[in-house]
Amino acid sequence: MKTLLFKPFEKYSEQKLLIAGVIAMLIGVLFTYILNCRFVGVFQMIFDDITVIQSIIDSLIITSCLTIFLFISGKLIYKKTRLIDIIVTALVSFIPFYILPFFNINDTLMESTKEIRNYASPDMVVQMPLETLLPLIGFSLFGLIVLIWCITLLYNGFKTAANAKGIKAMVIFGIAIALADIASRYLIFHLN
Amino acid sequence: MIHQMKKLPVNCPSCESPLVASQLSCSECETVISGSYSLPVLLQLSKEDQDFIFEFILTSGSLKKMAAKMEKSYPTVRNKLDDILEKINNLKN
Repeated sequence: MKTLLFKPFEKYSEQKLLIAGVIAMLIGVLFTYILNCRFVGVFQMIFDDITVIQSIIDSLIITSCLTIFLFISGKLIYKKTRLIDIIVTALVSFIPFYILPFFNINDTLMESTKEIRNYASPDMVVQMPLETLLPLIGFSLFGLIVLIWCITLLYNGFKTAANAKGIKAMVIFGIAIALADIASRYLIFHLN
Repeated sequence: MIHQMKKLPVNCPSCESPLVASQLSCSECETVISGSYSLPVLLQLSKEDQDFIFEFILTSGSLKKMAAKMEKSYPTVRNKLDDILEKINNLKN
């Protein structure tokens, strides 16, 4: 179970991982559209009305950015790094993020965010009822767990694909995902 | 009774230095040869690494076949082979 959740790249073939990743991406696209969520960067999600096309383009941009930056980093560390291993890393590592849109069933979080905005002044903030904050607190805590899970998956996938070891590899990985996040945010903002 | 294959020690249990063969004997005529013979590089690898190389030869050097046999992914098996090659190079130097 531990292997399946955190180190699937060590056990499963690239074909199986690619199929799982693509299916998950298609399901993710569908649910982000239905539940009005949008991934606007590798590590950023907002609640907004979205079309299916926008959702597909967002996913493609994020997967491409992760793939490009991790592949370049992988090649720097290990010349035999294969593109397919990096693509499956980018696709599979994003799967846990697709759980997050379910927090917005019936637009719960979108409404909660709007309500909080009504209390956005120093005088009003003390009057904010706790019930308004609870969905966002729950989402934030769960979101943090999912974020750690995704980064662990990304690192384990990168480690397997690029035979990465040591502090240097971790630093290169950190820079790669930070650049992928910045590039995906820029591209989604300007292109989509 | 299960016959368990004895593990050949390659490092000194006291100081971790590589061991050498200092005595060889013939099991038929009991001739004994004394000297100081270094162990071949492959024998200095761990049992796990030796088994891996053995499997690698049995699959005609196909990492894909090995990955399927070991139920591991291709890059995992390739990384293992590269790690063993690195160990062999270190032992040779």
